[in-house]
Parts: sequence; structure tokens; C-alpha cells
Amino acid sequence: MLELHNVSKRYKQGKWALQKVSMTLRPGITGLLGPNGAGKSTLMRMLATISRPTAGTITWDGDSISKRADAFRAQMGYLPQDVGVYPQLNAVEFLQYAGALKGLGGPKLKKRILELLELLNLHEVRQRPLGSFSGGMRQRIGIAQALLNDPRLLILDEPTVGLDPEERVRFRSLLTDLSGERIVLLSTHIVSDIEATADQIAILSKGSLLMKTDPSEALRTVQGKVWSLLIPEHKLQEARAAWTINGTIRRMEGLELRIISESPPDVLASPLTPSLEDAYLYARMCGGGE
Amino acid sequence: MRGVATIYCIARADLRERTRHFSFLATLGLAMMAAYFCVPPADAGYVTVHLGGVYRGVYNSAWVGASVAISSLFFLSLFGFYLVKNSIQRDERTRVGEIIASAPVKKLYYLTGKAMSNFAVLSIIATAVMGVSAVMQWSRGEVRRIEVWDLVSPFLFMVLPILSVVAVLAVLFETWKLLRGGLGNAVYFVLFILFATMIDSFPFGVSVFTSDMMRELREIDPAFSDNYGIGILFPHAPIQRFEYQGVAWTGHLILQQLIPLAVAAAFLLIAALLFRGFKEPVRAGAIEMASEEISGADCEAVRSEPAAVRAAELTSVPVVGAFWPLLAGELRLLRKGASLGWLIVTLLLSLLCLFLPTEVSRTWLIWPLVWIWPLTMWSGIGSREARYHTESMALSSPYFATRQLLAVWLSGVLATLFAGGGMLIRLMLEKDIAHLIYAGSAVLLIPSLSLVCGVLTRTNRTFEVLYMLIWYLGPFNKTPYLDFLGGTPTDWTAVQAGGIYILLSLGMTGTAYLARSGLKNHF
Repeated sequence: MLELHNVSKRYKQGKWALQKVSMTLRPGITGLLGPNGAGKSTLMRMLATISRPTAGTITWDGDSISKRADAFRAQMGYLPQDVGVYPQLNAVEFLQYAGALKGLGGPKLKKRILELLELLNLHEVRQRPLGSFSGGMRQRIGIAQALLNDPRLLILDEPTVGLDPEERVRFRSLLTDLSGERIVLLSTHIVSDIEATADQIAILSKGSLLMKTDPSEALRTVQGKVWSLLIPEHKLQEARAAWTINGTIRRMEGLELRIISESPPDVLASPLTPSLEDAYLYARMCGGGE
Repeated sequence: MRGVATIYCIARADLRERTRHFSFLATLGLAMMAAYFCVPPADAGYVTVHLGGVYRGVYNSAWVGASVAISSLFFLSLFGFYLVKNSIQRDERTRVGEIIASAPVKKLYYLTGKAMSNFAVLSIIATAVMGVSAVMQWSRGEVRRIEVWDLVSPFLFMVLPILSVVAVLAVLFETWKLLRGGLGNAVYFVLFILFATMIDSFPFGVSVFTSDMMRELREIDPAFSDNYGIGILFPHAPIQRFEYQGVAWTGHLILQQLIPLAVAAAFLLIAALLFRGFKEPVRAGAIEMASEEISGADCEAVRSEPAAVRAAELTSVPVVGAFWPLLAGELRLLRKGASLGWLIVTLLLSLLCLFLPTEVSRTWLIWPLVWIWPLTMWSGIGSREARYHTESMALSSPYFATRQLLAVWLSGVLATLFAGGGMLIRLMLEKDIAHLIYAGSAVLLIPSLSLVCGVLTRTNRTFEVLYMLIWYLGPFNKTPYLDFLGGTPTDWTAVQAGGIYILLSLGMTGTAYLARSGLKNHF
């Protein structure tokens, strides 16, 4: 179990990237949602022991991760937001190096590397230098190195960046396969990334935790607050100023808006079934995140 | 006019970007400190510019201006090149180059802007040095009256014109792929050595001042032997002083001193011809074919059937904490970072040192080459994680500060042993124990220096610049204690020197460890 208690992070310029974030993560997939600059990567880096909190504590199975950092790292896998690779090494060599960093060795490591490459569809290009890999392929190498030590805690920072739609589908099924008894924390600003997989979602905005709950509860919070309204095109600016809009579809008769509002925005508005994205926007709206 | 405005805007943006880094301030501070040491007090026991090893000028503006300008010229020509040789690379690294590539700006304008920015940086430093020299003249108190023209003219007519060439050469080297990296740094160092050695052959530059100084001294002391020295000299006898009046500038002389500006302009035109901009390489056949192959494989991979392996069934690997696989990984990174040609030359140099007598190796400059050739290999140590953005992976690994750092350091030592092994064996066979101790301690010293430079500054350039500077001052200029290969006699015995260098190595490695451990505060 991973517990965060009043975790805060302040940078040298005096800016608070995170303020008093508290939550408990149990086995399963937790999606960490938030806009750019919300503090997701800052939180991920602290959990990966790359960065230290300014205040607060992070414990793993009751032990502080800063006091028993190396033991914690041995059980953790981390995919950073910006995956760096050594361009002269090929996939196998790079993963062997990553494995050596994690203290792994022996013939089983090579076997696991080949299995991971097979799983991530990189088996056929395993001998090519990483410098020739596309962004999506590098991302998959990053995922592979995070899984090398069969971590109990998997921290994935924007893992679907650079993946095309088919790769994202494969990634989601990989995640589902992986979760089991593992804690998976996955950060993204794309709601669909976690819609299908997350057991819990946590929403960060401007460094604060707005909500941590399961997706169905999140949807309940926004039940009856999502509306469809058709407006003439010239009223769009006015509508944007008045309501939180989660989508615009051009129709022949005008613009169909998907509005999030406590009460019907107009007599002609019709209720819609909310989505997780609506819940996310509603949470930000209520939490002053907009 | 539009072209001038474009050049000005490029230069201004580049200058702003460059001077807003701490490294610029650090360099400025270093140069000012160097200027301070260039005007030693009478009882310091050393001089920096001397005539015949016996005379120096009284610290009036003419002497201080000329001597500081001469000393700083060598420093800035060498150090300054490495300082500014990164402006085009910066645009590539930051991907601003992609914006430039899609803009209609002419290559010549772009490169001129970059050269102007380089020149501005070096000029700012030269100006600061000039300011310090004025302060030093006044504080030494030998002649307190500051003659502005005498102080300024050596910088105006010697330092700045030559720095214009340095500024443009930095751009030129960046436009040629072969010279863009460590090889270019080594080539420039060789060019600099040649320039420093042949400095009197040029009608412009230092010789105007040194010949003038010697002419004036000859009028006072006809027995004066007509030689001069630049560098740190510890005289055995008290230094005598004479009053130097300074160069009497004529129009012809000034024009002569400005010849380097024409040279700089010519280099700039060559750079414009060589520069390919930020477009992709033209070897379309190979690159496109490779891209198609990779894309094809990638596409095929995505469209293929689901993997036979399931994530939940992957082979489990125990954590054994073995060190040797990590060391092997670091050695592989070193090896893969070098071309086959580089490895062959390294092996050849090592074999030459092994089979040739040491005197022959020294005379044929094989010895210096053995210790300079691996520059690009060494300079990557310690900064690789920062350069390739793998810090997150390293920092989130168990015992990263001890295991990984030790592996990096040891790989550097082993690679240095490979490069210098021929020399070490030869010294053993010739029973030259003293030089063996020096060379053996260098095997530890150089990778340690590279490691601490890389970890502290997160770039490979710091080591490249510092190492070249040590080479220039030490083995080349025979500055005692900096000649780490034992070519210059000092008060230390070989054992003492070796011990000190080893202690220094341990100190530097320890510093690198502390810095790496504290890296978490950076994020």
C-alpha cells in the first residue's frame, strides 16, 4: 500500500507545484487526471524517489520511502514523461543496461527482455539502434524498462504520449493484464486513457487534489448536470463566457454544445448521460481549477 | 537594411539566451580572476609577461594594458572558443532550428548573427578583463595614473580582432558535421597550439607589442638578449623593471592589426557555403530506405496478431544486485559511443607507444596524442544521463549513486588503461618508474576529472575545455604541478606527485558522488 500524507512540493522560485496531497493507493489501477501544469509529473517524480517533497510523507507498506529508498526502488517501475534512451544501443542492449541498473541479471533477464519486446511489439526491431526509433517506439521501450523488475508499484507518467490509436488500445489491455496485485498509477490529461481501465481516479488541479474516487462515483457527482443545447453560431462566444462547455458539434441548424451546469442552461437544453470527461471538468469547475 | 535588422535580431536573441545562464557569469568571473593573477605584486615570486626572464615593465597603463591583453588573448582564444561553440547546436537541441528552417532567413544572415553574438560574448569578457586590469594597475600602486588609451588600445587593436576570428571559427566548426563535436574541439586545440607557437610569424597580433617592448628595452639595456616569455615564470633572480611607453599607433599599424577581421569575414563566407541549415540529411537513399523499413516493421508490428506472451506470464527475474553487468553496460556505452575508426586509432597509438622507445614516442608527439585522442570518450563520462535524458531511469534505480557512479568511473578507468596501456607497459619495460607513476595516476585522474565535471555541470563541454586548458598550461607550457605527465620538474618526487594526484582523483570522485546523491534536489 502506498500512502501520501500532506505531500507538498515547492520549487526554488517559490511556486507551489503541489499542496497537501493526501491519498492511499491500493492494488489496482489509479488514473491521475489533470490539465497541464496541475502537478501530476511532480507527484510522479516524488513517488519515483527522483524528487523530494518539501513537506509531507510518502510511505510504502508503512515505511517512509525516503528512509528505505533503495528497497522501495527495487519494487518500483517508473516510466518518465520524457523517455530518454541511448541512441547507439539497440533495444536489447538498452534493456540489459536498464536491468543492470535495477540490479537484475542472469539468463532470466534476457528471456524477460525478449518477452517484453514481444509483448510491446518491438521484437522485430530489437536489433536496431534506438536512435532510429520513432517516438512511439521509444515510448514502448520506456514501458518495457519500467516492467523489467516485475514491480509491485508501477508509475506511468503520460504513457500513451506518442502512441497511435491501435497502440493505445494494446497498451490499455496490457495495463489490465498487469494490474492484478500490482499498484498502477497512471497520469494523463486524456480522459479516455483511463476510462476503460481505472479502478480509481484522482483529479489534480493547480497542485491540489480535487477528488479521489471510483469512476462510477465520479459519474454520480455529475449526474443531471450535463446538457445538450443547440445555439446559433454567433452566440458561441457568449456561451463560452457563461457555461463550461465540453464539446461542440456543428449541425446544420447551428452548434450543438455539451454543457456542464448545475441547472439547465436554457429551457431548450436536454439532459445527457454524463461521461468521465464531464465528471473531470465538473470537478475542476467546482474546485476552482478553471 | 532589412538584412542588418535580421542579423541584429538573431544576434540579440542569441546573446540574451547565452548571458542569462549561470555558466556565463561563472566564465566572466573566471576571466576576471585570471586577469587578477596576470598582474602579480612585486613580491609574488612569479611574472606573467617578461623580457629575457629578467625584465618586466613598471605597472603603468601601457605595460598593464599590453601584458594583460597578451595574456588574456591566449586564455580567451582557447577558452573562448569552447565557450561560444554551441550556438547552432543550441538551436538544434531546443528545436528552435525547426522554426528557423521553415523561415525565409538567409543562411549568411543567420550565421552572421550567430558570429556577432559569439563576438559580443567574448567582447564582454574582454571588456571585463580590461576593467580588472585598470583596477589592478591602481591597486598595485607602481604608477597610479590611468592612461585610458594606453590601457584600451591593446584590447581594441589586438584582442578584439583576434577574438572576431575565434567567434567566426566557432560558427564555422559548427557548420561542419565532422568538426561539430569533440573532434572539432581537439582540432581547434591543435590549431591553437600552432597559432601560439607561430605567433611571432604573424604581422598582426602580439608581435606588435612584444617587438615594441623589446625595442624600448634595448634602448635602455643594449645588452638585452631580445627574447620574451608569456606564461607563468618563477624567476630565480629579482626581476628588474623598466618603463614601457606603449605602442605609437599609426594608421598603417592599425590597419595591419585589423587584418584578422578580414580573415573572420572570409571564414564566415566559407561557413555559409558549408551550412546546410536545419534540414534533414541529403543522403535520402539510405535514410529514406531505413525509414521505410522501420516504419514498415512498425506498421506490421501494430497490425500483427496479439502477442503470444501475456503480461501476467512474463518470466520473473530476481534482484541480485550484481555489479559486473552494470560495469559491462557502461563499457558498452563507451564503446558504442566511439566509431570503429576511433577505436582503431586508439589501438594503433597504444601499440606504437608499446613498441617504440619512449624518447621516439615523445619526439614524434605520440605521447601527447595518446592523452588527447580519447578526449571525446572521456568527456561523455558523468554527463551522459543528463544529455540523453536517462536521469529519471538512473535516479529511480536502487543504489544509483554508488553502483552506477562507480560503474561509470571504473569504465572510464578501464578505457583509459586500454588507451594508455601500451605506454604503461613500455615504461615498465624501460624501468622508468617515475614516469610510470605519473602515467598510472593519470589513468585515475583523467576519468575522475571528467566524472566530476560531467556530474556537476551536466555537459561534456566543461571537461573538454578544462582538460584542454590543463594541457595548454601543464604539459605544453610546462607549468609546474599542472604537468601531470611529469615532464616539468617540481619540488615533488614522483611518488609524492602520484600520491597527490590519486588523492585528487578520490576527492573528485567523492564530490561527484555527493553531487549525484543530491541530484534529487534539482528536480
